[in-house]
Amino acid sequence: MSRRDRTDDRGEMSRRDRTDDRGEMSRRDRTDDRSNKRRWPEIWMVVRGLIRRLGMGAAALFGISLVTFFLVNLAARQPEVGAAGTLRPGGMSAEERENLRRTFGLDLPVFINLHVMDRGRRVRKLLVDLADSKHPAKVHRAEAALVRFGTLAFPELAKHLKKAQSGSVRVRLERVARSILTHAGWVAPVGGWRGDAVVAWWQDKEPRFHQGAIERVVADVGAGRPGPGEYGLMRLGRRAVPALIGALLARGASAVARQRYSLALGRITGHRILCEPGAPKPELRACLGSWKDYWRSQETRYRDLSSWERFAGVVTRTRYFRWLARMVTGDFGASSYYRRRVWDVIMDRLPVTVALSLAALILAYLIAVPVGVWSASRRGGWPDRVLGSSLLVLYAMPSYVVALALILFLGGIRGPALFPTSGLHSLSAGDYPWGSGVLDLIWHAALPVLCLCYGTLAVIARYQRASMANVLGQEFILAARSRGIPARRVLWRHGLRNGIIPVVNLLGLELPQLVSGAVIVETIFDIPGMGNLAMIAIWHRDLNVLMGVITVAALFTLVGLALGDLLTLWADPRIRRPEART
Amino acid sequence: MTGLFEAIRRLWAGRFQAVALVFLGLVATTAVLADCLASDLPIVTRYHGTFYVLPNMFRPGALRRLDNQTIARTMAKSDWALYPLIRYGPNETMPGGSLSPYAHPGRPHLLGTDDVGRDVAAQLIHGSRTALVVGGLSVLIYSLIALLLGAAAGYLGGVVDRAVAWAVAVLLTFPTLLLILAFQAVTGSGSLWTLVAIIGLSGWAGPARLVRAEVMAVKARPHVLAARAAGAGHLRLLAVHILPEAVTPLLVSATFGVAWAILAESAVSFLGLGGGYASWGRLLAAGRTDLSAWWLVSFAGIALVLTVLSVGALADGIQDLAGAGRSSYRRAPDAAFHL
Amino acid sequence: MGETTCKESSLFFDRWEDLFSRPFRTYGHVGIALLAVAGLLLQGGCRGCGHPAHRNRLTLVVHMGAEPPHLNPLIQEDMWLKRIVTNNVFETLIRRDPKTYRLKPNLARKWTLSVDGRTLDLWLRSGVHWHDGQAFGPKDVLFTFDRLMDPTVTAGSARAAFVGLQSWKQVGPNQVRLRFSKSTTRVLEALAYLDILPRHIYGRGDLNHLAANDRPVGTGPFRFDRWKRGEFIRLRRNESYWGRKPAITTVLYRVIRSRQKAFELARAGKIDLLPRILPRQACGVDAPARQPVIAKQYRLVVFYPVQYHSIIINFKNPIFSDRRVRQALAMLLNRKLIADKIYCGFAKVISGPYWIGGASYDHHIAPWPYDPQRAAALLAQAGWRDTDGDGILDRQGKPFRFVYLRIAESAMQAKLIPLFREAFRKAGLDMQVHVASWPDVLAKLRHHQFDMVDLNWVSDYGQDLFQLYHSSQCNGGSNYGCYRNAEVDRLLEQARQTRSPKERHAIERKIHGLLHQDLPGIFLFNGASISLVSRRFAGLEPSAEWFSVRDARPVQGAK
Repeated sequence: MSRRDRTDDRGEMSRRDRTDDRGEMSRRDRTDDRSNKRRWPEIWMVVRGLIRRLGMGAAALFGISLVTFFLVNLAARQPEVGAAGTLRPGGMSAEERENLRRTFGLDLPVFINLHVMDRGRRVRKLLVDLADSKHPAKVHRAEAALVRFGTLAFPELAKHLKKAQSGSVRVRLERVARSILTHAGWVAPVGGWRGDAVVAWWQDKEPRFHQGAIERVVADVGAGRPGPGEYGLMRLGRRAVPALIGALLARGASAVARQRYSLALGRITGHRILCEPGAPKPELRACLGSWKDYWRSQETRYRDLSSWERFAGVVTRTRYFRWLARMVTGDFGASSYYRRRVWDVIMDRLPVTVALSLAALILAYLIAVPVGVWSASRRGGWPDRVLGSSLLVLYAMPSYVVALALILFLGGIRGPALFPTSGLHSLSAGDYPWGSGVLDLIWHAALPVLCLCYGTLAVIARYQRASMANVLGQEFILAARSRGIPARRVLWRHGLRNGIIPVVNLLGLELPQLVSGAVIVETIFDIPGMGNLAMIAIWHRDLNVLMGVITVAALFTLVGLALGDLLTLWADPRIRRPEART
Repeated sequence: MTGLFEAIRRLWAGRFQAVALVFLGLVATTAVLADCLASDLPIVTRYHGTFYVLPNMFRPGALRRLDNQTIARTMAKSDWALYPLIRYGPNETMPGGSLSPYAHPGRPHLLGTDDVGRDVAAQLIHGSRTALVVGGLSVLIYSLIALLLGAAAGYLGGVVDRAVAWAVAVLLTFPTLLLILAFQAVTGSGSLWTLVAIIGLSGWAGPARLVRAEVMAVKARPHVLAARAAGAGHLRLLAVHILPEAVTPLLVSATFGVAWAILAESAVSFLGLGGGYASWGRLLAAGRTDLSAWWLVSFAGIALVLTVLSVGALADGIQDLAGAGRSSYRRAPDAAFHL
Repeated sequence: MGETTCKESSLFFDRWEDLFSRPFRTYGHVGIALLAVAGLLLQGGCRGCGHPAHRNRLTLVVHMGAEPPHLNPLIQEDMWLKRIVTNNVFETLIRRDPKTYRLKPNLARKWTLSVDGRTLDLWLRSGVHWHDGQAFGPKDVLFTFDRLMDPTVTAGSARAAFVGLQSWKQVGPNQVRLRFSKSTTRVLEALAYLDILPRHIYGRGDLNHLAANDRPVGTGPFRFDRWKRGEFIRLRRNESYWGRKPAITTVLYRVIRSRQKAFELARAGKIDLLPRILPRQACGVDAPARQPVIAKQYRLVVFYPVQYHSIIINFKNPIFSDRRVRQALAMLLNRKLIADKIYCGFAKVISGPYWIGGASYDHHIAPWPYDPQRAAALLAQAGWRDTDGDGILDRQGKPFRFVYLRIAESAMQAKLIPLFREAFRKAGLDMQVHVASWPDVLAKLRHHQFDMVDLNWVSDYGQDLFQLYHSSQCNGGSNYGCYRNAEVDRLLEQARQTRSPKERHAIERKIHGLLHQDLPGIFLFNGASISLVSRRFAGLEPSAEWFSVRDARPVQGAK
């Protein structure tokens, strides 16, 4: 994968012919520059370029999500916890694993969901299974599942009871209904919960299970008003859950109300997460987030979906859509190793990598551009060849070899201990006042930045040299020299002006290389940045963090590309001015 | 006289490439002859009456439980063996039942051993094979993909072009090494071929873009238009007129890509995600934990740098050859494969 | 046609091409930019850098090789997590004395276990306060059990020790009663490892993802001070501790991933405790750890902790069902050589799973020797011969081929596996290696989809091997190889019921003998932990409970 391919990003015909005498035309334009009339088309060009870049960015994000999704599904493992190689008897229980599966949507199909299930469909399916006498295991499972559904199994259960007049099916249905109603706390009528009693009960109590009625009860419970209260909610059972969740996650809910709701929810669903009043914001957020996650993964068990929802659900109730939605909102989930939000973990470390990359980039440009220009001015001669060869040598050295060599010779193992070889701070950096703290930082960052920048430096220098060589061979340079302008000014003012454009474009394209380099450099020098995080995530198979890092790195690149575009727009007046194009 | 000077000057100008070519030839020879240069079984031997030819390559079952040292110890009087230059295999930890990790260079291990007792010289020799195989094969794979996709995009245009351009843009925004590492970690296999496939599937984006631009440019050239007017079919156009021109920059890119692939493979091994095969990156990783064992880092590092340098010089030379006569700046800059 | 000259001398450039023709200005600007970048780095990496560390003779600096993911001991098993918080920040109800290993009252001042072993009454200490000032009480104990037994909390391994716990409630002002479904003698030991969490802090929200997981609040002799991720974790002495206050005021756990770097810092005297250095660093007379500059400041302490390496064999694979085959496998690995060369002598070859330093290990039992001839003879007896000349033994047409599962994250395994593979190859056994990450390996172990795995078992002092070797633990327990031996089963059950430690040790020695002969796996080594302890401190001794940091005290006369 060669770098030269990247410069050819537009492939448009107009770009290839840069043999016009730009120098003169652009200088003339420059003197007119200050008139405002000419500004608007330029600004519009810039804006248009940005919009286009945004559109490409969105398309790229879509592609990024596809690639990362593919990666995650290649792994497709259940997220387990544990340290490498050491074991304690025990481990994760079956319910924990099932919970995590549901949270990750691993029970959904990948791209297209043709069987979007909601409450009604599930209950109906279970009732059908219940009636299937040929497979006793299935019947048993269906019974248990229906009992778990609780009051959600009505009205279908009542309907089936009415239809089934006799036989084992009726017995099973009665058993299920009895379990559900007893568990919910309804008082049994005289004679027990027989089929007719259940049907009669449902006919009588059905209005209480309407959405509005439930919401009223929930509101009363939240406000502490007298009424059926919590006991009433328990009797409503799982049917109350949607309204409870809605009330819990509502914006204006008071802290006390939230506590009551979460208590009731915990009792009904078994997901005992209490949102205590007086908790600081992060705890509250975590509590609400946990319920949100719960609802997201369990919603289809509690609600019936409208036909529009079912239609949309073909696409939205899939693993990939969930993934895309999470990625777009920046919710990469929780790190299985750090037990924190992936976003937080990455944001902790992003500034370090960004700073290192920027420092390396700036340093590289600072050194490479003059070197390239100077080399081009002496092209064909001795210094040019030597420089070219040494730049090639610099290319070929992989960063880990250079890093190890630096540690060996400058880090005190086989040479003087001039630089520290790990971390960003000394052990007692907390003791340093601000000024020497910065110096300590720079001292620690010296070797890593060096390792990061030399490769980019070589690339930029070579590009600069080639581009300058091209420019210097053109006529307008000769014309300028013949006018009597000193050679140095011709070189730097006129030549560099044109020669720097492809190099400026390179900025955005260098960024992914820097991130890749950062992985190695940060691992070797033990710097708490994103590259190190990527290695830790790979080491511990922490997929969420890995995907987060890759996505953030890709975003970083997109930003860099946009920046490169902007800089090119600024540097190259021909783009801004349509009439300047040939 | 001037002609001679000119010839000498040209030769001297190309000296880097010549040296690079010679060095690469050396590496390739080492890679091909790796089994005969360093192995845990002899090249030819007569052992306990039976005659074996090239057991180091064919690994006969009868000698499976033996190695050079054991053979030497348990030979009968009339037996003989021709041993390879280095009498240890690259993955052999206990030659003859003895275990000597971190041995200093000297005797019996010429360049020392690593942290589990594997001979460094043997690993260097077999590592060259790994490097060249990965470099060559993965580049071949991705060049083919790039050729196919780029040609399709450039020639057909329209939707195909947009789709390919989009895919290329997406792939180019990823830091490739990170992607390779993630794939390798996720597939978790220790096989060399998986790595080849992964690198091959990650690197096609840039060349594809190149091929696409070339094809689009060549498509509009007069001789192609003429051929079309003469009634040539699409396939003939592509095969005879367009692709041969488009292949040249791809060739240059591919040669630089070989260097990149070699570096990628050793980076993967260095970070501990490689498999059970001998690799220079593995030596570097072993040396990293204990830098006072300088023989682990130095030799592998030098070998790696020299190989990559040679490939780079070669690529530079090919580029000069191919780019001679074109003035557009697009030709002049070269590739970077920096990791 | 003249040049447009600079109209005014400005701080910035009129034309950007002046960027390079006015180098000093350029580099001035860039210098500022670099400083800004440094400031960014500072922000990202050094929040509150001016916070002094106050290293003095009462500060103990400990080298921490890997940062724990968080500091909540209930939701995840992590070695460093436990070391930092258990009985330092948090406290357990019962504490095991690090020297005598006897159970002592801690947060529970006394307890009674009913005769039938099903009811445990605990009387809690009064006058104990959490670090934020709130009083400690039974509600916190109940809360901890609530969370422990809550299936949505990922406390799997801690919970396993309390299987059978039916109910827990308060029966008096400071009294808590636990009821179990069946008799249990191990509950006291399990309580010694259960940290009590405060309800008013950890009861808010999802325990798995609380912010308080990073800022623990306990009752212990140290309070949590600060955690700067990637740098250090600092604890300060709890001045209002209910018990004997530690002699040191601060403990600083320094995160240094590179052992080499930690060593260099030790050389400079900046670390007081390096709990585990590599065998190679202490290897030989001219080892780095034996240099005068180190030896003057540190003591080299070698201790064999309660862990052991063993290769688990899957009994569902018929190849391994013959005991002679297993014994042959044990005799094919030259464990002594590996311990000498790879571990540099800092590992003991073991013959059984009990702790070498404990009374359950029968030292009269010698581990299987390295004897490839005898192994070959045993294999031949079991019917394995090389009939087709391909160098691999076979029996009834099937070759001796098996898959060895390697855990990707373990560096030591990456070293040992080539050695094993070669040893087996030279005996005619074909071992294929599959690499998987630890979660995958765990899943495979649970479903018995493996042939051989090498695991390092870490235990507490009160090792109960019931879960590892009892046949009932094949599904759901840790008996991953599905080992079945009726006599071992019986003895394990008996050991569980025995209350007297002496009797229990005798029974366990018998188990040791049986396991040695029957080989549920190949017992490899007990690797030593080699530590460097600063001479500035006394009272820092390693034990089965790791180093008891709270007992460290500065030596008089030290700097």
